[in-house]
Amino acid sequence: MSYPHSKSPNFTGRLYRLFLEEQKLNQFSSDIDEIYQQVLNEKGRIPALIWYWSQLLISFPPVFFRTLKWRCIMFNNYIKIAIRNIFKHRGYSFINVAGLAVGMACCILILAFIVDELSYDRFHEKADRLFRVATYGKVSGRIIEVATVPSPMGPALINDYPEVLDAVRFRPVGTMMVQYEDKKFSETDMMYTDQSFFNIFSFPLISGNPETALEAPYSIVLTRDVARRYFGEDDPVGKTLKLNNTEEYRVTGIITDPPAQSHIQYNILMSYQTLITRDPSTNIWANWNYQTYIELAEDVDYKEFEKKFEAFNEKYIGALMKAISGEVQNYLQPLTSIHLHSKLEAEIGVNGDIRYIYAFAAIAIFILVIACINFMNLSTARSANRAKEVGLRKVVGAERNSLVYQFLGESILLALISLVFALILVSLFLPHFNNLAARELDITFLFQPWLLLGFLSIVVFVGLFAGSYPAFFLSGFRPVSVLKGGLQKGVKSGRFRSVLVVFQFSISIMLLIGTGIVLNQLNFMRTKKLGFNKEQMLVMNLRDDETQDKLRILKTELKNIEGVVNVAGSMKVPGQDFFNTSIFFPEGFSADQSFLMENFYICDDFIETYDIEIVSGRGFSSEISTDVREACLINETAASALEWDEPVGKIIYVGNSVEDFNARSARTVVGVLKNFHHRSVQHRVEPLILDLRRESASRLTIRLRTDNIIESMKAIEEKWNEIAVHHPFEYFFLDEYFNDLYRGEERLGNIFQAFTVFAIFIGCLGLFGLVSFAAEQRTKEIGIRKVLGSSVGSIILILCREFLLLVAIANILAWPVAYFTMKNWLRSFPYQSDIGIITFLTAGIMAVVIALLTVSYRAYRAAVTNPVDALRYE
Amino acid sequence: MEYLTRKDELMILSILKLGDEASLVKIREHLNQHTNKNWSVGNVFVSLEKLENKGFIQNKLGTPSKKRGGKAVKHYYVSKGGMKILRETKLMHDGLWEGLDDVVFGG
Repeated sequence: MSYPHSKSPNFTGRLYRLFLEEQKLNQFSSDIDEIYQQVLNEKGRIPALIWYWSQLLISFPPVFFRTLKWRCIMFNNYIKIAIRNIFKHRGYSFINVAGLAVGMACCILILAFIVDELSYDRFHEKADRLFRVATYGKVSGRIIEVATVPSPMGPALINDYPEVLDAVRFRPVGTMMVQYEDKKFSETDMMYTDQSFFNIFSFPLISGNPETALEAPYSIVLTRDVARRYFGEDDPVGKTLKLNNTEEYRVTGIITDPPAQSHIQYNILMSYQTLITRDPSTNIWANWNYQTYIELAEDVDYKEFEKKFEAFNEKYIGALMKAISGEVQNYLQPLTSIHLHSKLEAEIGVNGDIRYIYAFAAIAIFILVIACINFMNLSTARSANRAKEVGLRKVVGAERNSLVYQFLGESILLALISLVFALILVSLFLPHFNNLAARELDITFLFQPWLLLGFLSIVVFVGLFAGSYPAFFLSGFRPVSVLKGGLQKGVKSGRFRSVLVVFQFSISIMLLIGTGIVLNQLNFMRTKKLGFNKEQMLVMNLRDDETQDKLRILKTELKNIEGVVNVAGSMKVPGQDFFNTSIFFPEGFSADQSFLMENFYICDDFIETYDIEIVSGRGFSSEISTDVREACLINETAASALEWDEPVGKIIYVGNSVEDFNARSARTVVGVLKNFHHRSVQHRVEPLILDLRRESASRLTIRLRTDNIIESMKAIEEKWNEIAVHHPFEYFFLDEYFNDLYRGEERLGNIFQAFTVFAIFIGCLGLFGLVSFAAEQRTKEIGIRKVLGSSVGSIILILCREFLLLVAIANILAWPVAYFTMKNWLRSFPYQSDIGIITFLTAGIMAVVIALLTVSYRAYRAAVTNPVDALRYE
Repeated sequence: MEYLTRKDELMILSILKLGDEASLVKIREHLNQHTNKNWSVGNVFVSLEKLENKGFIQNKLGTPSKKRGGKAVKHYYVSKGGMKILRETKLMHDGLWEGLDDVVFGG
């Protein structure tokens, strides 16, 4: 807006340039300059400038609104054209939108899952000052990492350190029988805990006094559902419940259910004092059985505080450690990090794994990237057809800017439509996803402002990116050349598109391989030889003393039932994840050298019932009465760890009393057992020592014959009710129980499968779109080829060849990456399946076949078109 | 029945008055003089465009002059449609003013 003769300032001119088209702008500026000139001549420079600037300022509103009005009118036209375009190529549009929508939906679901996992335990008011005390122990070279500490540690920490404001201890006890009047049920998820539970954590009480509820021994607090079971809608506070037919507890409150995002889950809480009252030896330092959480004061650096554990431990367990030549280090785990990062023994709940979060996040990003790439690919491919439209618009007077806005706007519109569909898909599939991932996510998580903003910006970004090719490249065309003859799309973009297809497919192939390996490992774990026979094994928990007293009778009577092969009692059954490791003193080791072994007791006939192989020596014998006090069995791992060639006959000293660590009794090894998995296959088989008990058992295992199981069970139930009058007949089958242990991995496999399917689906959509486009572009070429005599087959081949080559390259890229990642994952399992070449080949072939199917259908259609139609307009 | 808005009417009358000299600059001056208001260039500019779109005025490009940096000035004139609506407006106006001259201007 410069006027050569008067040097009128042109800064505001730029603003007007935005709003006025070139022609109008020229008029306007020349009109203003003319008047400026007049004013300049009449009144001089300064008044002229003042006038000039004020005119520009004051003229702005009418111009602005005028342009706005025209822009709106034009906008309507763009929308109309955009919608018409979408419907004109319904197939492409659908593929485009579907691909992006599915991709975004997957991403949203995974995001919801991740957010849920990351938010565990954050709802506690004092969450960032709460820590769990964990133990890293080393005894005779063997390392143990547990989430538990001795019982007196909590109170001692409060006593000794002002930084520790409060502490709470837990003792989970699994299942017990609970009775009120005539109502009797087996309850799970029961824990003993201190009164400080209510101060430290944010689990509010519904009724009862949070200052005293768990103070007195034999107090019990219930969740609402549990309370309802026994008391209906009445207030249970003050009433008495009977546990395991023996102990009486007084109900002191009702507590809210723990939220799903808490790693501490409970149904029933009982006062910790009960344990001490019942058995004062609970409070000794030599027993690491109690999960302890502490509250630190504000501004205390927990890493600094950790250093104080050394002195603390020296004071309280220094002597003990010397006696067993072990060392112990304690450290603090921030509460909020437990769920995803803690993988210790004796965890209080089932934890997630941060690696899975990373994996899922990666998958989510991959899928989104694939979907976006597709979107961009297809958009740019389609837009080459619109060169004519661009040419025409320019002829009729469109400015380049308008064209840019038009194409970008169309692209963003399509992306927004995809977002809407994605949200619809998410709400439709949320229940299924919840099933798959064992969560209860609901739709409200979506409506957080930052999340919506994030998605909108991704959508806009994708739309911009996708639309940028037509917007900037096409709008630069010269109308004449475009209208005269079709413009070929650049060769460069073809190359780029191929790269994108390869990238998409390699991700899909990696996911396929990943799924295959996960499923493989799952199968391997499920079918691995356990070292005992888990088929037709009926297991019952013996909960009260009364029933335990009748153990012998039960055994004899049940064994007499036809259909029962054998009956045996034990402390636990394989698959129950008790972490029970103790310190033993084997013969030949120096006086203060101890040896860690896993340990539980069994009854007569356990070895036979479970079909465990005896490698040397003998099993426990019911004939030999001294077996109870003097014999023990070890497994192969123990024998080799102890470096005994002839284990039978060697003596292992067992600490007799936990107070006096020097009082030991001797047990002779009477036999060595072949290794068997008494924990799930996810744990390595460690040295194990078994001892014999005859008077009590917590579990009863019954092996049944394979035929007539139902009859046998009926008979057993009858007999049971006869003998164990007050104990309900509850049982489970060992093989099912064992399989349940792998539910976590199973779920992982399912999730992998689902997302692999999606990734492939999206990839194929993209491929299909591209092939369709290529076929369309080459209709003339195909027509000519047919006329010259080539067969349908060879045309299909020509169209497919290029794409199949791309899939092959994708394979080559995917295999190494998948191999290394999955190998890493497998390393976390002590028992790993082999990664066979079969998995890779299968994945590769599947990818090729799928690609072939998508491509060939379209290619076939193109190949059988009548050449006349193709060449008609030549 | 369609009528001119006040602003439109003023502008058309100015254009008629100015005859051959009806360029944006002159129209604006004329208006400023007669209405005693300072019309902004943008206002006149946009209003002229609106009148053109409604079809009441048309423009003719004059000869390019060195004075305006080589661009041609637009000269506006009233179209047939513009005249027609001007007539109708005036008649309607007169009709309403009938007999009120004395009341408003007398006494």
